[in-house]
Amino acid sequence: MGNPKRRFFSKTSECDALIQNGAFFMELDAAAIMESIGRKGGINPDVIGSISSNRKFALVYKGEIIAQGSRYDKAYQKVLQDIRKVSYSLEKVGETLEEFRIAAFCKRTPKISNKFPKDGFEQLYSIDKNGAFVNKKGGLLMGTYNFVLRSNGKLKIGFRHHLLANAEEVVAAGNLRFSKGKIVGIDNLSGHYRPTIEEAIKYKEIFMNLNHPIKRAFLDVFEIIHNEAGYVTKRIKVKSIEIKK
Amino acid sequence: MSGLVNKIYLELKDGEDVKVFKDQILSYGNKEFIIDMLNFDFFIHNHAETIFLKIPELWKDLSLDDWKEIIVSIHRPETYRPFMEVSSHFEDVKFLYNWIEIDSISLYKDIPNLSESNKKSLDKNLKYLFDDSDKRWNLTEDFEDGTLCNPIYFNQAKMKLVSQGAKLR
Repeated sequence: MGNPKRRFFSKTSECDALIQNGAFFMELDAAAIMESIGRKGGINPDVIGSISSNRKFALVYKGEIIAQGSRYDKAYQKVLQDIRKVSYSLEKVGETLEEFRIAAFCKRTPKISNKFPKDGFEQLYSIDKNGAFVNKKGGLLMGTYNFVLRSNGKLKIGFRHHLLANAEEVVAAGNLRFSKGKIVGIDNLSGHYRPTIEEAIKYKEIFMNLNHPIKRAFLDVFEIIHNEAGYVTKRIKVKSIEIKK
Repeated sequence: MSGLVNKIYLELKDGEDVKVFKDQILSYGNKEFIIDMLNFDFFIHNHAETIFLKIPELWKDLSLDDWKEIIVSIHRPETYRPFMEVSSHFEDVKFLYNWIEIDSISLYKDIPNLSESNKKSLDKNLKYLFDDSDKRWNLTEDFEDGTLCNPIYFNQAKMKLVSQGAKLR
């Protein structure tokens, strides 16, 4: 059985925190648990654990099985470990149990599919040894794509800016034009983000600082005019900057 | 929805070159393919424009009546938001205006059997969309190296459509 000190929920206080929050362990084989109760004189996680090392248990909270498995199941042990970490506080244990209950509930609830999964997409790419952007079929990227530079510096390309950015704020947004895998054009045209002229002029510096290859590209800076509702009504090119290095 | 259009949509999304589908597109029926492509809600406008620019055989022999039939057959969403949507519902009139250089605005306005909703959507959105073209990028190299079609086809199509009554823009 190993070192008892390393077992989870071996301390009475930890068990108490679970029990006082209304959670309990249940052996998944009802016949076996009845037998263990009879033999060992009551439900005690330590005692149950000592009967057989690979028996399966479920941790139940508010009628939901929030974790199940044997002592060898990593996912199950991870849940127990997370609860144990907060076992100094009855309230924290309750909060953690509630988080797991919600996650378990959502996991077993049938999902409603996205009826428009094709509405925009991310173009997956890698960069080859020559610094060219290649698609997942190995072909060099060509043509124009929407792009965003996310807050973590990652360059996402595809179609629909807010989808690429997961609707979050971005460092830069617009279009990239590729020719034979190389970025040859950048602009700030995004109806969702509407980068200003001042923001767009910084794109050269931003791309270079993040080591995204834009040498010999043109940066076209647009003034984006919008109506009261926020929708773009006009785009006026105000500057075209050649990026030499 | 056309199986071929859906297949091309998915393959282009994965980075396939549209020229791979040239034979299938042309045997589908030029006019029919354009209508089905532009009616497919999720077909990206850049991809539709790329198809026009890479496969001139798709449009070079279309007559003015063919284009009118295409314009009438596209169901353009009333809620379309220019510069935010990425669909290709307006690529027919944009292509005619930007690349063939004919006045596709007066063209659609003169079509008697154009539905009211179609006309309304065109009236509302076209004023915004005509600068939204790949033409604003410098594509000289792509035309010269054969990535895109020979630009001579644009002029030939323009002359043909003008001779059939189209106005220059």
